[in-house]
Amino acid sequence: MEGLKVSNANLTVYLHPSKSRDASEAILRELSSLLFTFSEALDGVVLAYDINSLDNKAAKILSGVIPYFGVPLSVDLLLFSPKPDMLLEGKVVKLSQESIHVVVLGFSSAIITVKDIREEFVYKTKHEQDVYASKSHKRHVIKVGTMIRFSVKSFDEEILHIYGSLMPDHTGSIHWLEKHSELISHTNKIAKKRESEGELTTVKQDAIDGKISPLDSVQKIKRSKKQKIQEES
Amino acid sequence: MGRVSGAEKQEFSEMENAEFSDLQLICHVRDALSAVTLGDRENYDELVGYLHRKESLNPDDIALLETTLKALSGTVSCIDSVHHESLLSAVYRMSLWNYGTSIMDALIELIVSLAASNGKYIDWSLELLVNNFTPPYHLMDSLKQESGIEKKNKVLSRVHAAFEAIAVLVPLAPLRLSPIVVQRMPLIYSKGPEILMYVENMLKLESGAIGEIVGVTMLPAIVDRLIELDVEIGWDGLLQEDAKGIFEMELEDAEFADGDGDDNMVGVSMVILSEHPCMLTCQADCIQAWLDQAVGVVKWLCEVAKLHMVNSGKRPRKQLGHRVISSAINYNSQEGKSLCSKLVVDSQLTVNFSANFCVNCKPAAEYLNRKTLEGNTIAEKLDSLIELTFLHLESCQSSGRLSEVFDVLLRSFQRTILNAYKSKFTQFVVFYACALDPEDCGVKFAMVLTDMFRSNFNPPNTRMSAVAYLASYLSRAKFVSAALVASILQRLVDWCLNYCQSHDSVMNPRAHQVFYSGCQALMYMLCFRMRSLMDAPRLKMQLLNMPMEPILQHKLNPLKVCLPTVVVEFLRQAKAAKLFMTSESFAFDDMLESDLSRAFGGIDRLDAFFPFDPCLLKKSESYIRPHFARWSKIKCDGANDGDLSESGSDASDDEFVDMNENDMIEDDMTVSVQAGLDFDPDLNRMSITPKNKFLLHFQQQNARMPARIRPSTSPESL
Repeated sequence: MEGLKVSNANLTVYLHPSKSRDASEAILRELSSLLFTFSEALDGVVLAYDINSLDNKAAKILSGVIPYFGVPLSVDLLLFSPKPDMLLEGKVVKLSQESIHVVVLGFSSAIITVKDIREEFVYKTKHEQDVYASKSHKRHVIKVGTMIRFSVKSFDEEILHIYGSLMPDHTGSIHWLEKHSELISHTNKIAKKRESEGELTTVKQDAIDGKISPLDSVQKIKRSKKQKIQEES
Repeated sequence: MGRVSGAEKQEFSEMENAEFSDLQLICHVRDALSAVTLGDRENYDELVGYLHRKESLNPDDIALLETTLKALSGTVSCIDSVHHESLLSAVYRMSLWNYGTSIMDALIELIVSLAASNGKYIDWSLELLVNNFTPPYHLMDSLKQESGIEKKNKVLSRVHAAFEAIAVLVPLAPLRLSPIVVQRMPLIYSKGPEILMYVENMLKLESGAIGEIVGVTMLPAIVDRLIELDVEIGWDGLLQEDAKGIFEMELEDAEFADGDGDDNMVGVSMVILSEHPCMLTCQADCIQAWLDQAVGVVKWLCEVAKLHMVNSGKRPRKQLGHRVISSAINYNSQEGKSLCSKLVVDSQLTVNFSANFCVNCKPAAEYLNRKTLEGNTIAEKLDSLIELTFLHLESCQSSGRLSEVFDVLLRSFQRTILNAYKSKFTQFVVFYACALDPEDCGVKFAMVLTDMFRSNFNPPNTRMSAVAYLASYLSRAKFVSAALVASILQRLVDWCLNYCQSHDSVMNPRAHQVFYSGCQALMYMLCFRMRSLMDAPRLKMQLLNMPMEPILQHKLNPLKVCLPTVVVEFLRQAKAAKLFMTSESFAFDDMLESDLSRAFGGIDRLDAFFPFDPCLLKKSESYIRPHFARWSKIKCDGANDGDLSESGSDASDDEFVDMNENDMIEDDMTVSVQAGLDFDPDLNRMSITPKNKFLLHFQQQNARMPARIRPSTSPESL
């Protein structure tokens, strides 16, 4: 799953003088207040922190009515920053004719509206359960509780809400995708071969549609390179 | 365009026909919504029109509304906050209370779908649901009936289920819910039922499925509201301070006939009576209806008033008169009401009285009326809220969550109640929680308070307040074991001894206030618990071994500084129990209101702070009663200690007030604790033979003054 990264940050935590007796607890409280909020400076949602070391430099006291003192820290942060076209994984919590509701990492809600679900998937009611079933692959079914992989359209930073899309080919039920990854790559090869003549136009088309995924493009480039090598050899 | 819209209109009106499938309906709505962006508002406006229908819906309308809502739920992703603003505001104004269950369900579904579809609507949906905590004004009264209660259950169960549904779809929603709920809490001046319903919902949230996240903020918010109500209620003394002044002005202005002293007294009583809120509300009929029984009261009052006037001038007379009479009125209002007419007939002050009544007395009395009524309703609100909290604590206990809830409560207590200036009743919430689980919560509370007292890091006021709470709690809680009391006493004694040994200085109330408050706490606790400790042999040994003598005999001289009533009672009991051999040799000046004790208590008068004195709120008191230790009971148990003259015992008891209050409550008299909690503890004596008891009362009046739980009323005080 993309979108997660660990970064190291040098922070300064400003503490109220009343906390000077137990500074470490106060620092932990301050850092905890960052959790599950999007930070512009860090460019991501802080999910976890681990204090590397309290830099042994002394804390500077600010001058002012209340003399806060700033403790310098070096902290490892686990950040979640989904960007458009990233692939994320989450659990389906609700299905309806109009949308699929997914929860990512247990805290972030995502919605995939029917406009962004590729035509392969059709809404059905099977055995009194709502499912999205694939027309081309019988076993490929998405229902409540399935882990799916989807791509990000946009991310609402305030409420941590993701708007997702199931348009790209590599999206859908993860279970099925892993099982049939070879099948997919094979069908992809055939498709790519057919397109290799009009490669430029294909790329242009995809670029216009905005649906190109990095994975696809990388694979395309690799394959076209292979083909070239084969042709040359 | 016209033709198309006409056809669509027709289709809409036939919506209740099963001919149209859900999918078709959704398509219609989707088209209507998207048409707005292109400028075509006709169908959209019609849709919005369906939502506005509220009054007297016939079955067709109901079906139409339901279908509209369901169709909208299916098209939430097309709803745009800018283009479809009128739709959203129409939905916002819909209250679940106005509709039947089918529409309620459809509306809830719409709200949940909206919340899950777009981050912008989460706060909106949560606010909408919180708005449904209380019914609209026109339905408030119907809540008392069977049908109203049924409706309430239907609405609230759906609202809370909606919260859970949203929490499943949007895991961070509960975090956003807490501040919304707290911000929308009704103010203390809102109507009682509204506050009660809202708090009921908050407690439901706390114990519900999302309680883990939301509950941490709910209870402290409720406690904060309780404190706000609490501080609005004045002690009767305080309330009278204002009233006294008003009387002063009015009576000076009023000109009475120059009859003899007796008539003057009667005249005074008349005015006082007439200014009582009860009188004002009843006006003429009331005056007519007053008869004999209370005449005796007034006659007695005149005697007292005469005496007082001779002794000390005008001020005490009115104060005493007012207090006595208001109590009389509260106590037996029916009989008391006839008093006035009789006196009107008897006295020659009729003309003056009525004139003054109309002209002079009214404004003052109105002021008094409003103040006491306000205090009255606020006390009722507080009472009901505390009762609600008690019931919630009981349900927490039966579901096994009391321990966690108590932790939250305790933190809230430390933050707000402990340092609130003389909080009167809110602390009983903690008391009751301890009573429900003495082994765990009861012990925890005592330990936390002891640690707060002993810790140097806390400011002095906090430490003094903590030890006052500790002393009052351990004395009053029936459910606390003697062993715990003994162990806490041991700690306090050790701390005090340590303090004595490390501070080799003379008596200085202000500098050593924490020490003095600790000593006073010790003595106070022993006043209540000495007997039970002496009864258990092991604890008796422990008590006898405690090094209290060196503390009491130290240069710091706590016996002179601590509250005299406490000291006297303690010494008396210690003497009887043969605790110190040399107790008689303590020379103790009989100062009634010790300046020194006031000094150590500081501005807050933490020297005379006994927070768990009997609760004066009727409903709450009934819950507390089985767990509460009364001074009178304890005194009765020790009655064979001889030489306890009535006045002596009363004078030595700084819980004098509560002793008689308890007697009254026990005697099952329905004394209403209204009108600023203004009742005279000597009421029961008064009604029997006023003449005999007059002297006793007069003595006690003086003896009682210093020990009231309020700032001193003696002139030299603040």
